[in-house]
Amino acid sequence: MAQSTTGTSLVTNTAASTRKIAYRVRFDYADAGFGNESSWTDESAYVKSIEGSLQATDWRKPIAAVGKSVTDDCVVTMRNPECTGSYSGLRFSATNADGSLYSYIRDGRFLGIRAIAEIGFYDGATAEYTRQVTGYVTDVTESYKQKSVRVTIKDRSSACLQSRHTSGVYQNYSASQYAGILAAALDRDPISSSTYQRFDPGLTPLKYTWLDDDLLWQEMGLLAESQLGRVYFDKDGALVFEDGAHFVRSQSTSGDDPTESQYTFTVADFAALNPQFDKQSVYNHIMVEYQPRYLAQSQVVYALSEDQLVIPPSTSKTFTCELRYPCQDMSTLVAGTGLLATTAGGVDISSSFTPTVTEYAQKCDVVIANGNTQFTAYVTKLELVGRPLLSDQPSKYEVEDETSIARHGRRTWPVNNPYVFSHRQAQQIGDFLLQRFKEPVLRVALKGVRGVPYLEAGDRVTLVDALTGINYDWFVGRITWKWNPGDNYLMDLDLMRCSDLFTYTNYFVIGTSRYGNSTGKGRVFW
Amino acid sequence: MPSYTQPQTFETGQVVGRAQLDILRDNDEFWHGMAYRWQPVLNTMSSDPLAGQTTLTAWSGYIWIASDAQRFWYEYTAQGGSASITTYLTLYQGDGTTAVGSGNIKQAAVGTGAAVTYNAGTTGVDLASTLGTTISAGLYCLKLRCAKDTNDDTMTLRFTYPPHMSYTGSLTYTSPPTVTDGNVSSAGHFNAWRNNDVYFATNSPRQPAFAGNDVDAKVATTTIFDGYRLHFGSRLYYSVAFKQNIAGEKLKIIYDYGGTGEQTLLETGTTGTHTSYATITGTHTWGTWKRVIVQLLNGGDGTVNYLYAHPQIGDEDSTDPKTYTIMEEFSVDQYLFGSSTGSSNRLQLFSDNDRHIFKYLCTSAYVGRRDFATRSPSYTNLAGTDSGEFRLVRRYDTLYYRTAGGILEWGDDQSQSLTDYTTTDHYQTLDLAGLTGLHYGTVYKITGSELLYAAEMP
Repeated sequence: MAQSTTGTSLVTNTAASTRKIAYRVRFDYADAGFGNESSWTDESAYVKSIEGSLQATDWRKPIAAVGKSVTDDCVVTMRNPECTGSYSGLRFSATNADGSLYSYIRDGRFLGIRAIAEIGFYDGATAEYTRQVTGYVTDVTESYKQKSVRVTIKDRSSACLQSRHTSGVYQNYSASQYAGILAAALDRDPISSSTYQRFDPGLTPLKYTWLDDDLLWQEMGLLAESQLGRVYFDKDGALVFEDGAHFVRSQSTSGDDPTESQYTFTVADFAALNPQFDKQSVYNHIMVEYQPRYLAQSQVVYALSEDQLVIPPSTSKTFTCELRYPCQDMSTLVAGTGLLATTAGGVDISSSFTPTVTEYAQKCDVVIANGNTQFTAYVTKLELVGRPLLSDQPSKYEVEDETSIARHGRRTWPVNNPYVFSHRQAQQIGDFLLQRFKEPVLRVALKGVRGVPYLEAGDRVTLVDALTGINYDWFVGRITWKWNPGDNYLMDLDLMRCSDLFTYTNYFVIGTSRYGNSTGKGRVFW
Repeated sequence: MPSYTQPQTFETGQVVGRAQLDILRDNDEFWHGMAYRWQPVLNTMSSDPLAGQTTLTAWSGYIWIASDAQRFWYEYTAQGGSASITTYLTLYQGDGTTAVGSGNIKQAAVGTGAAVTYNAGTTGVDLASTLGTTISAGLYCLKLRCAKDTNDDTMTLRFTYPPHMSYTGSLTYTSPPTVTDGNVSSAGHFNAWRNNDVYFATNSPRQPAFAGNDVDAKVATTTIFDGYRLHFGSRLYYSVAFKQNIAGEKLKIIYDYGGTGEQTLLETGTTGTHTSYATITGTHTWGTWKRVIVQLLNGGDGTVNYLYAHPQIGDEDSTDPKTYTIMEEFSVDQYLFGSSTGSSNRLQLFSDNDRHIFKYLCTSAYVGRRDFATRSPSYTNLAGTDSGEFRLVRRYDTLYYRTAGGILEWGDDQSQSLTDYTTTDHYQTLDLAGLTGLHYGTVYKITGSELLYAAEMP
């Protein structure tokens, strides 16, 4: 949502007819980490141009397309001058050992360095910025001829796309609680601080969840889909999980309030306005599969299938037991009962063993230490007992709109999400998607817009144009922007009409809405 | 399987959706049905004293002690016959022989005068402090026994309500709010309903097996079943089998036996299995223990398959101001009503229904979370291998049992062998969801050479 402009004159200066652009690009060469940006290296003096885009993945669907993300990237082109003083190489050259940054960027080390790009305006002599991207360097291309370097910075999701994690079973977690689990499990810069978390509560509880070498970012997307929402890293580097009700829920901070217009565009603010009803956004047949699960009784959930597990004397080995089902309440593995071992001569030496088990939902790491100092042990039995989480036969919730099918043909959206456990949840997703997508959404492409640096994808804005008769509120779906010295700071925006996404604006909000059918009443959300 | 969904916590500023409201609604429906479940009459039948013996184990059964249900309740009556007796109420480990902790739960000498009653008082017994040891969760054996004069075959010793454990966990019931149209909504309102759902789940009643006795009587009047239930409602469902050995023999079911409201619910000389229900009439105080016995008159062969009781809808306690109202499912875009009586899913009904459910599911006057001890079905004077049986109505997924040679039977001819208990595994469990055709609500039976304990637990 729109970035905070509190304590600045950014709003005023954005609308000013004359404005002086301020920008800043910083890199964390010394690995100080997020939160310590003051110690990062400011490379603004070398910037030649800067451009970026902020868009919902699968942005042709409306901004609140469930389960999707928002990608934020920025390309900074910088001069690559020869260093002075004790250094003589090109500053940003990763192959010249005489460059001042060589030790930080050699051998591909530039990739993955934390970086922030900001843009804003001068308020008098004071530069005021908003961040356009907080993330990592993902691509660097050096131009020898132009003595420049082109650096691509992508938001923080770029570091966790391939992060995998294994966990235990979590029971009856809220979506926000589980999002916190996922966020804290990230390999690069895990997010446990509330400074970098903005989580909605979620719409339905999660009866059972677990990870089994699953991709964390993909799981976050599935989690968001199950809650009709989206997940993304915002321009300031915070991980944001929004549930499906986010866009109808007012926020105490006006910049974060999706029910409040963040900017009004009139004809003076843009060069072109192209309205379009987007048929590609139509879905009139929704199928949601769900799979009820239950915790079964305690039973053997793993039995050693190898002929032999051989452990030399006085050594230990780690053995990963893959469980067929996710399990919990694992029984203690006891040598002599669950674990049997003999010598090659058949002498039972189980009593020499001290097994330790690290439990995950769908695997156990068993460390088996052979305490016998004389004989190699042959493990003949290894059984793990626990309560498997079993699933009933999957069921399907299906809903369609005949009028839309007659008009647009059948357009089916299948949803198959492991976080959907119940009919109620499937019904919520199916009905919500059908209402949202059964008719085309009015979109507008605004070209050549005077840059508004604090806007984000998902913000509510107002667009007024007498010629087309447009006077509506819109959600921002995509922003592309560009600036270089001596040129204008311009944006292109893709907007979706709010009323096409939500029929009503007075949904029932706890603590605000009043019970009944009088003043202050509220409607039930999906 | 019908189930409860734990709602998530509600927050100020949260948008309320149909799915969240319908979870609360569905849960109330679930708990309402659970409150009106069939509840077995618990078997407290005592063994008779025999001349020539110096001890008597009047009652022996097994009891599951959970970590969140550590308070023990009992009441027994004793009377010496030819001489004084010393009674012992003792808890044993799951092996049935190793006493838990130091001493007995109760030890008392009783003379030959009037019968004396001993009980857990008004607060129950803290087993850990009484026995001087921590009581870990698991299956335990409970015995009511006595030392007696060798020739005394007239003394009496019997429970006067079924021993059981009660909930000692940390959750409490929240008095639900009054919600009035025009008032600003509050997260506290929604969380009161949510927290009560969690409380109901924690207090979810375990389902003990009905232990059915089997007797071939030789004397004029023989009690073939003796048990207790807490009175509520007006129906007792029964299934009893009867066979005349000679003409004129009868089978009889008596409610509130020995009480002021004693009533014969069935008296028949017709042979065969009688499966029906009887209406309990007369004035009975709800929530008081009622003795239920089955007799054979003039001899005969009788089997008590099951005795289950429960209240009927519309059969609520007349002193209860809150009746249960079935709520309509919620609709997207509808307004959310609080107190408007015209709205069939007004939120006030959550409060009213919680009060109703709490009373019938959880309060001490009714059979809420009471983890009952279960004794073996008895079978006396019978030749052959008949052993009585356990009967249960399937309500959960997991059966806990202690049997030998056990067979679980359901449907027309379906069965599942049960795993014997061992010296180390004092009980076994069975995943009922894995048995084809054993649907929720199905009555099934367990037979075997040793039937010591069976109960379904969530």
